[in-house]
Amino acid sequence: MAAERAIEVKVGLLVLVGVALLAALVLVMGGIQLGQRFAMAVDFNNPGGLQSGAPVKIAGVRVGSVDRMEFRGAAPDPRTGRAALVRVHVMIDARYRPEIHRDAAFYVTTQGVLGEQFLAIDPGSAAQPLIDTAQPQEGIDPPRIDLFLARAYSLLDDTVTALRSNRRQIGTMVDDLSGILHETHGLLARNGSRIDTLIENVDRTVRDADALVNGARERYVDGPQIRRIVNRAESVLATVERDLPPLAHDARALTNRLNHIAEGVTDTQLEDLRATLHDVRTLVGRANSIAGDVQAVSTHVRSGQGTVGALLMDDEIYDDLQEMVRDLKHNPWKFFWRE
Amino acid sequence: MAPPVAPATPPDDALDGDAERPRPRGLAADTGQLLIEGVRAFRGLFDVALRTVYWSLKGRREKGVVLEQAFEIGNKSVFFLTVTQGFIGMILVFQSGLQARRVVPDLTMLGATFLELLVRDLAATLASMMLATRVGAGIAAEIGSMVVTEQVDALRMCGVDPVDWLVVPRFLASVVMTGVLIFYAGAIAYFAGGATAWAVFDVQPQTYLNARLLDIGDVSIGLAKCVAYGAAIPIVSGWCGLSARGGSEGVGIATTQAVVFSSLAVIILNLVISGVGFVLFPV
Repeated sequence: MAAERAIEVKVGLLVLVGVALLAALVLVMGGIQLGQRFAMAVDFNNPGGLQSGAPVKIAGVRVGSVDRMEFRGAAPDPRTGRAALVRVHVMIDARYRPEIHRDAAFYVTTQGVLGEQFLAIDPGSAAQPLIDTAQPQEGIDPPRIDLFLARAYSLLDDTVTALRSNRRQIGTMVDDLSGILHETHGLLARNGSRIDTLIENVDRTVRDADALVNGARERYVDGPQIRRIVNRAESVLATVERDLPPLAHDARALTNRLNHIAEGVTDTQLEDLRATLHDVRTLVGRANSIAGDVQAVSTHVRSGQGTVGALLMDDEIYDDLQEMVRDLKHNPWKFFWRE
Repeated sequence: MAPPVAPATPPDDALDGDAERPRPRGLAADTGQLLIEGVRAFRGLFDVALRTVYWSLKGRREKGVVLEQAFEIGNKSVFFLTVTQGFIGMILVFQSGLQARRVVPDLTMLGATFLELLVRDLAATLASMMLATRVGAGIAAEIGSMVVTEQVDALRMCGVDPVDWLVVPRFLASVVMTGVLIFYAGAIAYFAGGATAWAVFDVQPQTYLNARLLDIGDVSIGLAKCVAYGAAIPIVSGWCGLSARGGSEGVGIATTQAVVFSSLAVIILNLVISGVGFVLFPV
């Protein structure tokens, strides 16, 4: 009886071990979810090899998993306005909710070279508000290695076809290129010393140019003269900046007054002003004519012509008048009596 | 209640040790004889399988018979399976890691792929092959000895179907314990492989313990194989034991046939279930 009991216990233990292993397998396969989680959706046009159950990671730390993948087609989502072919629904542990901000980036990447693909989240800047989990986010599609290889293969195929169909031209081109290289080699060999000299000259020129640039910089950029000019210009600018506002204010006031005066002039006054200006113009014309006459008389007088001219300009008359005045001073009676 | 098919004698045509019968001459006669014997053997096997299922549903057994067989099949195979599956797990991970490293130096998915392979195929198949050698040989030897010592004839004279008395308890115990042992053996192989991956390839346990590639299809196929192998081994071995003739030599032949045919049954069932599983749950 005891032996039978022992057998029962041993068999029962083994069966329990098997059942426990099966339960563990089912739990592991289904993903053990012990904490609170929140749902998010990320749109991709092509999420690559991402599959349901794939991990979701932030900075390499697993924070959740892909719940399911939904093929939506090309119709745009009325909520986002985007047309994404695939919407990936993910479940993320609730304790990571405060770490995902509005500028977070969602992309599919691979663990290792050929490892499993997972959804990585760049949580974004802490200065940004938290992400709206009710709104589907736009994911960054993984690079299409297959597409790249297909296009590279097409390009390679075109290249090979072009090479095969133009084999003669390519041969000629290679021959020409070889000839050019051969000639260049001979040219270099024949003019080695001259090329050395040329290089030395170029080197010297470069050094001179460098010294010139340095001198110019010291003189015209870093020199005291430039500094003074700049200081003066700054002073002038400061003065202008200081005095310009009052000047502008005065000019504006003067303009306002002129406008005010102009606005106060009536049409009749304007006609009078025009008539006055016309009279002034006439007077000025006449004055100019009189000045011309005066100038002609003056010229006539200066040339000693006429009575006044002879009186003013003839020395003999002057001498006679002086003699006569002197004689009259000595002989005043000649005013009244003639010899 | 009588079984649906209850032949009075065991399928004696399945054996090729009948020295009294003159051997036919010629290729056509040999081929024909081989075909006829094959059909008769398959019919005998089918008969035993049908009667096993029938008596499993309708028959009554003494208390503790199935438990005793479960202990014989299950508990006494634990050490054997621990050793064999542990080494197999280590070898598989070591070899697959070496081959994978030649292609790309990235073994992060080694644990995930090995676990999927174990659950989908290797755990059940390899453990069942091991069980076929130990359990199948034991069943065939035990029943074969009873046949050659005419104990089975005594059962028939008492009106007892030897399938009900001898095969069904082993069948029921095997269906349960083979599943349990496959879970256990798979775990042993997986963790032994994990230790190898850690020691040889520096694959950390956190990386190795990855069940991401498992899906419901893998588990379904694995469970189907557990049940199928657990049923096939005692039926095939019991049929081989009931087919034993002569003396100890016949028992030896029956034992050898039990191992061979049980292993063959496991392989064929593996092919069939894998094919059906591939159609139902494509990778």
